[in-house]
Amino acid sequence: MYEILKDDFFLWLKGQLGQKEILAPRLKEEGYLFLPWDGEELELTGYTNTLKPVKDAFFPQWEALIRYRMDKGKPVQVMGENPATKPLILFGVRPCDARSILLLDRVFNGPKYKDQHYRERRENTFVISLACSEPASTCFCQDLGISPLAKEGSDILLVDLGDKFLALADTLKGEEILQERPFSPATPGSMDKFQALQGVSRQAAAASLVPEILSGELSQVFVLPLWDEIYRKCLNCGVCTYLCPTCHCFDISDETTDTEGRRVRSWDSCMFGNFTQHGSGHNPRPTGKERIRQRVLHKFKYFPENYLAVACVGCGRCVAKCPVNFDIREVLKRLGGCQDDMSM
Amino acid sequence: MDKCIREIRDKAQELLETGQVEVVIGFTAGTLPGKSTPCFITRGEDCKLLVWDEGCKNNLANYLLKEKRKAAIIIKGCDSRSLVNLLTENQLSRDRVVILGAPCPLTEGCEGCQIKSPVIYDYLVSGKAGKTGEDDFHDVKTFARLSPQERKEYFYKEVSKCIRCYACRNACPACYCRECFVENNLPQWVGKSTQLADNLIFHLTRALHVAGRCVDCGACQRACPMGVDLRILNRKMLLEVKELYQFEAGLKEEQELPLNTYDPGDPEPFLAGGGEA
Amino acid sequence: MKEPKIVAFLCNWCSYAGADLAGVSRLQYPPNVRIVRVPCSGRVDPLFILTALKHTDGVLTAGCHPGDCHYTSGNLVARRKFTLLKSLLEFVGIEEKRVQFDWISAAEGNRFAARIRDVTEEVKGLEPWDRWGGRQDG
Repeated sequence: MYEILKDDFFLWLKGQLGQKEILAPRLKEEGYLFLPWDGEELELTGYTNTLKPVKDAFFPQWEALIRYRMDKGKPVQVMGENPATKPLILFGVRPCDARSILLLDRVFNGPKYKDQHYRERRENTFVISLACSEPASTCFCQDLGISPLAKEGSDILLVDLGDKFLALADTLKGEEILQERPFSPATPGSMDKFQALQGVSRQAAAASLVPEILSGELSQVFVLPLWDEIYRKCLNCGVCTYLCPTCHCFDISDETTDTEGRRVRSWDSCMFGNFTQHGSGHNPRPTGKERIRQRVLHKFKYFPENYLAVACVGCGRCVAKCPVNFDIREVLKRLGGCQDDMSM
Repeated sequence: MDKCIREIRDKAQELLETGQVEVVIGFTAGTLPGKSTPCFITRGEDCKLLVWDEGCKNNLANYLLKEKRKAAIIIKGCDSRSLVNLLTENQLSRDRVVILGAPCPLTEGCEGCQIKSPVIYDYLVSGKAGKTGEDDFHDVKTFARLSPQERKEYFYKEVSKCIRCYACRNACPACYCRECFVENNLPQWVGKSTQLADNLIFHLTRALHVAGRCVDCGACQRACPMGVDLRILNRKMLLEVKELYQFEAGLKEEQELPLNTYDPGDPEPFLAGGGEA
Repeated sequence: MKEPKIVAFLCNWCSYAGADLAGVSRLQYPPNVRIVRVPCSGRVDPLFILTALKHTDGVLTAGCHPGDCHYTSGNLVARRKFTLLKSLLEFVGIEEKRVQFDWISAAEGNRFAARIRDVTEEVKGLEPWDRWGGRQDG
């Protein structure tokens, strides 16, 4: 464990600007967003989390994968797109979002499949997180067993101790940095403070919100009567999925004029009606019922089965921003109460 | 408002228990402060869960489009105008819905709102709606006084926030196209990126598609997670339609929508040279 | 500046025939225009015009004179649509001359050629168009 005076830390961070681009939470009209930082004072009082999740840095809302040109009488020219290669520091990531990066890694940089664009961005990025001291009313990371002081997914986690930060590393890259000045080993006093904070957060951690029922047979979970009810108020917009740090579905479309074009990958959402629309006109998820069920089960059943972790980090963005107040926490609670339905 | 919600609950319960409707669409308490959430009640005893308060902001008329059961709906002024529009456009059949009108529960109300009590209903809940003021469109007029460059910069800045989640479109009762132009892919009119150009084309086209049908309920803007100022576009269209064609959407049934018709003497300010041949 | 690209949406029955007449009469007009033939000016969705502005610098839409529509009232319904489109564009700061409309009959080859000359000159006189913020050359 290490520590650093806050002023020294920001001086050090500023010193990184030469070689690296830095994204930090900046307050805009609409809320905090990760935006380029060029060294001026950061306004972080009132910062709980960014409006948009951190996935944008590795898996942007849209990107061109290739460009092509077709000239008469010549073979088609295809140009690959290179994602930005300038090393990046992401500062101010919250522990829930840091965890979401680990989850996305399993999808885009796992043993089965490696996405070149994602990987290049990911490997070029150094994540410095800020532990949470005051969670928002929509936060529920602790209900999913994630600590607001967790370092998983961060290269360095900073914990606010008043005039200094306690610094913990979760990677070798992070550890190497912390071993050097201006970081110094944590004093016993700082460590005590950290332990006290941990104690508080452990006390606050409630029982897991993920209901037992979801580890049961899919054939039973799939037909629970609650799916027939909960979807009705959903507008089938993409707010929850686009603001979700772990949602990672995308679409690929060609944008062409007569002689040239580009192939674009853009976020897609299982909440949209045309997400599963077939060319034939058939839609296997014809109504909101199937779509809501997909979103809930993907996060809490299919993803755990495929990647051994729940694909929700409790950041609460979907809860806070849903236009009709669809609250995933309520759904989980109701699923928890469905045990009786199952035995029927 | 106590009396108001009691009447709503009693009437809703009666409608369900006498089998006049299969479902009541209203609001129940939400999970966040200041937010009530739309609900679908099918049992008479559940009607006590209904609320009518500051948090009841969504435009419920939207839900009737998907509702296959015979439904009762609890609506305020702007929802009722949307409903009238849907009837006018043959998207609903009047005998499938029982309308429980109630005065708008928002004490502050929305700027420019003129219709706080329902314009169409089967039962009207007693209670007084808040005051309405004359809508002088001062927001639109003030904006129009900025220089073209300033207006363009503002509009580009607002639209650049958009993440294309389509919450605005899906929250809008006037946006009921089975297939939206943004989802067309043969040809693909609007790109799927959030590049400024695609965002601009989406928002401008949408404003034009709902022109003459928009009732200024504000659902689009409230639904937007990024706080894009969408209402200014809609209100510009509202003002134009009102001044040019003396039309306000959703006020009475069976009026022809301004963009479905014409007058031989319509002004032609759009012509090259301002209309003189 | 680079020569501007202009798209013209012309109705099949009047304005396109007007353009044809300009051609067979060997009237000169600038080559900046690309003509798209549409069945009726009523077919022109605002989306066409907004999308055209993503790739070009100006748009002209022309149809039959009021009263002459092949489909009786297509241009009269279009008239309201264009009025709103034009006022919305002006509202968000797009120059008035960038998007233009006119009625051109099959007998008005001269009017067509003159209109193309005017539109081209007027668009040239404007600040370069940013193509909705995504300007690429061409």
